Parts: sequence; C-alpha cells; structure tokens
Amino acid sequence: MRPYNPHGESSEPFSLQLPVGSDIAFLLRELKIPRHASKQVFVNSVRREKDYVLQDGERVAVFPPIAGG
Amino acid sequence: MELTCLIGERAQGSIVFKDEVYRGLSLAAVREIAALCICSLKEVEIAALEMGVIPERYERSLGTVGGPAGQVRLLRSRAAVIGLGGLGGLTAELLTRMGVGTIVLVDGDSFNESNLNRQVMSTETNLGQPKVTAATARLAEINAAVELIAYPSFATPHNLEKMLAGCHVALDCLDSLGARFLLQDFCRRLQIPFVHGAIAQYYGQLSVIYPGDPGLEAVYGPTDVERDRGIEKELGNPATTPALVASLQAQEALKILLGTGELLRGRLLFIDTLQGVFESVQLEKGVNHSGSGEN
Repeated sequence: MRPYNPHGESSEPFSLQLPVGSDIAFLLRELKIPRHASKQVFVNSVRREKDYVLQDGERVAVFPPIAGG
Repeated sequence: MELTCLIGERAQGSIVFKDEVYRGLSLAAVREIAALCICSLKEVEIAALEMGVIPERYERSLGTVGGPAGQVRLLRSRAAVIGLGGLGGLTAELLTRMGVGTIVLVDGDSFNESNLNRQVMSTETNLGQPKVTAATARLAEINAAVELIAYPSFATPHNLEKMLAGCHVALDCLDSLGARFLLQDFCRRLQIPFVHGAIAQYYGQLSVIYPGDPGLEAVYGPTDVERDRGIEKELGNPATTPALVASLQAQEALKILLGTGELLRGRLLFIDTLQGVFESVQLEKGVNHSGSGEN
C-alpha cells in the first residue's frame, strides 16, 4: 500500500481530512487505491465493508489481498 | 513377547519432567519392538508413553505438549495439509517432527526450479517429482512413526470429503482463493477447524477458523466477489515469509489438537516483515473465542 501514501512511499500512518459522511469507498478513491488492491479494510482493527461511513478520529488500515502459499 | 514387557525391558535412562522421572526409549528400541510384535512404530510409541516411558525423540517436546498424555494425544491425531508449496511443505515437516500421528498430504503439482527459493521439500535432485512424493519421502525419513496419506491431486469438490475424513484439523496452505473457499466449504460441512495461512512478498497472514466462525469471507470479502490470486504473482515470494507463516500455522494446529492456549479465532494476524509489524485485527465485532475444549 506504500505507493498510495500521499506523503510519499511509506507505510507510516498519516492523517486525512474527509467530508462528513465519507465512506471507505470514498477514502479509497481519494487515495487512488485500485479496487483489486484493497480487499481488506479495517477500521479500529475491525474489518469493514466499503460502504462503512467513517467517523472522526477513526484509524483505517488497508491491507493488500494475499493468497499465495 | 508382549509389547509392554518388551518396552519395560528396553526402557533406559531417566527423563525428568515436572519433578517426575521417566525412563526413555531409543529409536532403535522402538524399531526392534515393532518388528518383534509385528505392530507399527506409532503403536509402540503410544504404548510406551501410556506406561510412562518416553520415546527419546519426543523428550524436548514434553514441556509444550502437556507431557506424555499430550504426546499420546498428538500421536492419535489426524491433520490434513492441503497444498505442499512454501507453506504446506514446512507445516507438514513441523507436524511430523512433533509426532502428529496421521498426516494427509494433498497437492497435484510437481516441483520446478522456481520452487527452490522457498519450498523446503524441493531439492535440486527431485525437480519434476510430484510434491507429495518428495514430501512423503522426506517426512518418512524424519519420523517413520507418522502415518502419511498422500494424494497427488488438487483438492476438488469430488475428492475433498475423502481427504478430510476423520481429520481433527486442516491446514489451508493453498495458493488460490477459489481453492481456499472450497476447502472452507468442506471444513464447515464436516465440522473440522482449519488454519488459514497466506503469503505475498514481505507479507503474511493467518487465522484459525472453526465451523460457524467468521471465515474467509471476513478476510477476503463476500464469496461472490472475484476470487483472484491476490498480489503475490506480481510481487513474488521469498524464503522467509512462508517459513514464518507456516510455523505459526503449525503452532495453531498443535494448539487445536492439544486443546491449549488462545487460538487466533475471529482474528486475522497480519504480518509485515519489511516494517517488522505484527497486527492482529478482529474479523467480526464481538467474536473472541478461547481455544480450549473444542477438539
């Protein structure tokens, strides 16, 4: 996910201002993360679907889909 | 001569575990007794443990399997390792070394050169061999008491029920989402817990999924979404992450078989080895099971 960090290629946490009522899908579009690259989104360590509406101060983690063995 | 008499005769030395002193039984003695009694090595080991004689090969395991009784429990257990690549090869080896009594090995693939960087069962001399053939040969050299049941085929809706029959745990060491969801379907139907593991590049993840738990759909999204291979094809897989995840998968399987510890149920452990981060995330709010007593 590092290439999608707006502050340069890094996996360091960063803060983002979003309009009230923004959902996860909106956030992913803002960060230009392609649909296929973001199967797993966790908000405060709980997996949420793309239509989950984000609240102020929540911590979002986006993991790439991993299926290799 | 009777099995227990022979074990009593050949037992020697002293092994101290939790202030109890046990006698030991060498590998050579286990082999000799099995030949004399026309029984399996596993039967000799179980009989020995039940009379307080420790096969020396398990001496260092006693402290983490719960003593002789725990080792008997492992020897009487059956685990299925589905997929024998980077994850499955090492997982199968670790379970074999710990003395899980019966291990079902499933893979329809053969070894090629691109496997050598990470798949512990592959060597320069067994390229082209079916993975189950190579794995069976190596595992039999490590612990001949373990019964190995090999299927040189890929898991399908037609063969999975037979492969999983009688198993106490399954290990998802597969490399495609479709096959993983298929395994989950059968584990749920047959009421078998499974340990999911997956890797890509520097990343790995695992979770323990019992029937009724939030499962792979909580990890990858609903089952109707496109089930592709994930990112590992473009990113590649090194030697290190499969070994790490396989090791953790084997440990979860052992905990399931022994009924000990806190299982990774309702949680996904996500590992980023580049940043040195282990992150445990909940798969569904309010789901937090303990690991005991459901084996």
